[in-house]
Amino acid sequence: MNEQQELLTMLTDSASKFLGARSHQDQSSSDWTAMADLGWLALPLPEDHGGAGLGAEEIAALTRHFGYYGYGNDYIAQAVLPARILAAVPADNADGAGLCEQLIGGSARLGLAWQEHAGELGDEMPGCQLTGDALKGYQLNGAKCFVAGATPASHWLVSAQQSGEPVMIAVESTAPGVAVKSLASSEGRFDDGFCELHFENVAIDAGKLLLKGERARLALGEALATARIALAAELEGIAAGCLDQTAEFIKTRKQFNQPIGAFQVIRHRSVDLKIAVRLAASSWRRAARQWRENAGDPDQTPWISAAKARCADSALKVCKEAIQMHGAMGFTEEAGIGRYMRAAIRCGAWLGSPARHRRILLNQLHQEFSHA
Amino acid sequence: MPDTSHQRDFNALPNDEFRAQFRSWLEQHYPKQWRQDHRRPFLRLHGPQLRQWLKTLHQHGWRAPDWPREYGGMGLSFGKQLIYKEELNRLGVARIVDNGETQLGPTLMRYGTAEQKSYYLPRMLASLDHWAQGYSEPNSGSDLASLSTRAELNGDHFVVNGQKIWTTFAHECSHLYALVRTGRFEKKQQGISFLLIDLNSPGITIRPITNIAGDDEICEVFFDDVKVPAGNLVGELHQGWTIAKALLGHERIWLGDPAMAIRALALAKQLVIETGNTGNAVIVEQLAALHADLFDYQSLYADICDEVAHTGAISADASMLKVYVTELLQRISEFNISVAEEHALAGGDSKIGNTVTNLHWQFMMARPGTIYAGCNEVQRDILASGMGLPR
Repeated sequence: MNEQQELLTMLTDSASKFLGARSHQDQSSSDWTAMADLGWLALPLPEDHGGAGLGAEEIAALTRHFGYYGYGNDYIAQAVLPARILAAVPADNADGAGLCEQLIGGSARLGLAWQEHAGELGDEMPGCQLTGDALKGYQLNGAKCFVAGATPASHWLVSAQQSGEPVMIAVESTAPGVAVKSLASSEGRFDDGFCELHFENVAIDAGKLLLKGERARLALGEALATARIALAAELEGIAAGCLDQTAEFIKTRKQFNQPIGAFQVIRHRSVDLKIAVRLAASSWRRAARQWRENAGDPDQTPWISAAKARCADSALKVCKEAIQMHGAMGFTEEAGIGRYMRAAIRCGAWLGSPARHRRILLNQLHQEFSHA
Repeated sequence: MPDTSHQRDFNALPNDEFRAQFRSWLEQHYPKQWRQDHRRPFLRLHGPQLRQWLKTLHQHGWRAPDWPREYGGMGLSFGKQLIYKEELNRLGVARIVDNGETQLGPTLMRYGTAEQKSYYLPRMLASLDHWAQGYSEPNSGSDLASLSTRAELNGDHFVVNGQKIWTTFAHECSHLYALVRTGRFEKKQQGISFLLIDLNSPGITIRPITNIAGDDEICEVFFDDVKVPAGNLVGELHQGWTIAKALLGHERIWLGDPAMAIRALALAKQLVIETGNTGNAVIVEQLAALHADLFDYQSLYADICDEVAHTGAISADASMLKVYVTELLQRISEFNISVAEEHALAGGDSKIGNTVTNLHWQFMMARPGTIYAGCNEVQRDILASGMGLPR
């Protein structure tokens, strides 16, 4: 076994242990501290930023487990995304370094606020405006939506524009002029773990302007790419976990004097679900590998889009069938399928819907057509 | 027996070099007029053309990539066999049915007598004998073990009576290997034997069956008191089922080869262009979904091939490949009919824009995949048991 495989095995073993005890639960604040102790919060940060310097493959191996165990979590929202932005800030930047330390230690909760409208993918110029200058100080105005993180963040990394150039700034949630509006709560913490942010003349110190121009743009692109791979893996985990639970159920649930898993229609549909899970697994692993080998190359985005779309579709397909195969029990909250299903919908809709990502593959086709 | 171990060991070559050599040789030696194209995306070679091509491969040392070198093959590792196939697919080398190389040869290597090996294997390689597979019968398809063509041992020969069906290219073959019933026991699998039959023997009648693609490739073979030497028995008497079930080589993987789907999708893209539909959002989105399915399928295929290359083992799960890709091929072939609209009124060749294709042929030729080599219903049943689901 080579070094990377050993590392992956260690990571997945430790994830199984941690999550086996927390199956079908939501992350608690003591869980976050435990993850800090396990070094998980440091995984996505480069070594010179105090992190473990791991890439999409390792991060995804971990998030896949979150999905498999039905574990509601903020890992991508409050570890992966902020870490990948901070990774682009020079290591000697004091504000950046301070945020890295707080992230790794779990003492502060960070979040990334980039999106302003549904359907955006991250390459748009932000509408939020940063005005003023370094001497007298900056002001931030505007709004962000679909900001992820169930636990309230203490610091936001916010994408904005300054004189037509993209920038990335750090904003404290307690700063005057910052308003946080949660999405309507109906089911539970992780099902409403998204919010809107409103900035009204928020004062920003010069030092909090972390990235400018091309560096800001590239950092956001890279962070979203890594997050999408991790999310695809989490979705495949959801599909695999839900399928395994369902397979166990149909082996034992008896009707007409036999396990319902013995009926041929059920057997065959289960096989189709297994194929859907295998396709999903191959798609995210491929995307992660390609990203490692070609980090930052925009030509890699089709792989990532294919994976996000495939994994979301497979998760939804498995969860729908799982409800059906559980019969009326599947419709109860207690049975646990609902949890997987909500996670599948939520993770499917976040960071680009399947249809939106398929359109990227479609663009590949259009390029082929224009050369024909 | 021709031992090619004195010839160069292709496994020793770096993959890139092996690929480049084979690619260059193919480009020089594979006739352009036999390449797959939009008109015949799944073209198959048979008869004199097939024999000529196999002879050419043999002459230049590219025959039997999966046979051990001690038996005259190339002895390629799985990884290099994959490259070999990729290059055939890339150039559009027509599909071939070479049961001698893929099925019977490996069977004889494992179960045959020294005489059988030394007689038949060289003749296979030299394209002197061409072998058809006689398994299915009118009443024994998926339930192959119920077969009833019987072979009665009468001193130094068997007398064979019965009928085989779906025997591909039997009318162009010299020999047939068949599963025949030699006994009746409690379990139907127990009384089956594996027999080698010369198709020139008196009492054999071969009748090609016209298929819905308009070709005469599959045949019925009738046996009327056909005498077969006892020495043509492979393995022990009544051991035939075990021999046939011994999954040989990498068939499970090759049945999942995405080549046909790739050609069908290339045709699909061409049809979208030629019908002026590149701006039609609905059609392009349908095409994009098929494109995504093939894109992701190729990742899965590569992962499973990697597993095989590294572990040397093929899991039962590999059957998923055949199930998925044969159904994907059908979906693409249906899309091709759908996007072509009135052009599909023509049953033969039609010219759509600048592209000549045969819409009915490509659609019909996608149908058998879900039926042969273990129909997808049976495959799903086996895969379900593999998931631990009860019967």
